Amino acid sequence: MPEFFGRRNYLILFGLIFISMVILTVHFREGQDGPIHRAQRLVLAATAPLQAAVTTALTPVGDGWDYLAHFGELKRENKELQKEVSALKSELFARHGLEAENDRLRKLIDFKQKQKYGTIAANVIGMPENNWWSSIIVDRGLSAGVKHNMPVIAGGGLVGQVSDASSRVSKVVLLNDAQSGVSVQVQRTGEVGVIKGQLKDKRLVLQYISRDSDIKNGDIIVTSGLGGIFPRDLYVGMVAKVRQSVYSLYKIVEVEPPIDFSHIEEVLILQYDPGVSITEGN
Amino acid sequence: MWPIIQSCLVVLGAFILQAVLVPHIALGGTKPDVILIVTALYGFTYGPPVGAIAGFFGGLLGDLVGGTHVGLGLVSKSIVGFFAGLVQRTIFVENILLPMVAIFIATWLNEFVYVGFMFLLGEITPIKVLMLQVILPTAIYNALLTPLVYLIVRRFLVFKQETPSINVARKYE
Repeated sequence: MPEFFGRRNYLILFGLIFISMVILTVHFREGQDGPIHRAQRLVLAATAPLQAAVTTALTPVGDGWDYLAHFGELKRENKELQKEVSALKSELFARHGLEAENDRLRKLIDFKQKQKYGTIAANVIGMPENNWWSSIIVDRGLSAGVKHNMPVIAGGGLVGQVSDASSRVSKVVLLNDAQSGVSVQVQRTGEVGVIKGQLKDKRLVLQYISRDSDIKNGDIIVTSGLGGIFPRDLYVGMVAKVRQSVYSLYKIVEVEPPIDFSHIEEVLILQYDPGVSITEGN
Repeated sequence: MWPIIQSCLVVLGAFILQAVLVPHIALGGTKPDVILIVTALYGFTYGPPVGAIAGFFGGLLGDLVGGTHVGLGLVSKSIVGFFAGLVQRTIFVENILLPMVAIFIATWLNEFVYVGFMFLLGEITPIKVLMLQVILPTAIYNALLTPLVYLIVRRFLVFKQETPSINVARKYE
């Protein structure tokens, strides 16, 4: 019988699978201070300086490549953005009046001003190294006041949540991670749903919107604040496509986030401690 | 024992590449899996035990830096390393086309084991989406990158192939 059918080889394989299962179970059950989570933070802290160095060194190359690859697209986008800026300027002037009126009304009904949260600015120094999980590494950690589960903002909208923090760096799970799930609402109608990531697709999916809903393209999606994971009214994205399957009870809604998750360079970490993670809260 | 230690050191190098360089060479969002390629090459060359242990070590490192569930990469890469070792006599590593095809198949095996365990943990994503968006592009990218990785790792892999002939030569001196 050939050597490769030997019993010893299979014993080694089953032994390794058994150890893997033990590690998987321990990781699943232990808390943030468990040995495997501590090992993860150690590896994160050890690889972060290298990731930062390589990211810094390769950014000009990547930017140059992006510029060449998307030159036509950038030109068109620039024209559209200029139009958008003029439209937004006029809207801004209109809003100044509304804001003043709003302030007066707030005072009138003794409205308690919503609590504001401090922010920590951070640079992205590392990107995900595999195709299954979507996360980034940022250069601020526990020493800067970052805590596990704090919401992370970029491009004016929510992009994720701190999933792990060592003293100098933190890992952020992004909204487009297939595991994430965030309770959101449609700003115009108040309908509540769950926003999910869909692997490499740039768009997010809004689930549990009833087939009777009149949700439409351009509707603004914000956090609902339900479950206490995120503060309410954080911008998540804009409805880009609404479909209806014949057999489904819900509409299939695609949401365009404010930023391309694969090109995040700076983030703001909100100093808001929910105590729950987006991957636990779905 | 040396091939095991050597494979772990080479896998450690592959892990560093995977963590710091691979995110920058993503094509259309697809990143190759250098740890998997190295694991499979060690399996092809040294057989099931070395392949499985190299896969276990590489999977552990990969999971520690990027995985949400530490353990999934360990299982999938141990299995890939082991099965690469089973076909070691069929894959002739000096002909680069065969390892490329083998790495393509090994990637499918790795991803299917990974997805299977994710499914058991309640991560349900349509299989068609997984195959078209993740598994197929990764398998193609891994296969295309195999010659380059093989060129770098070859100097270590040649070690075992040369040893018997050197030993035989010495025996008859």
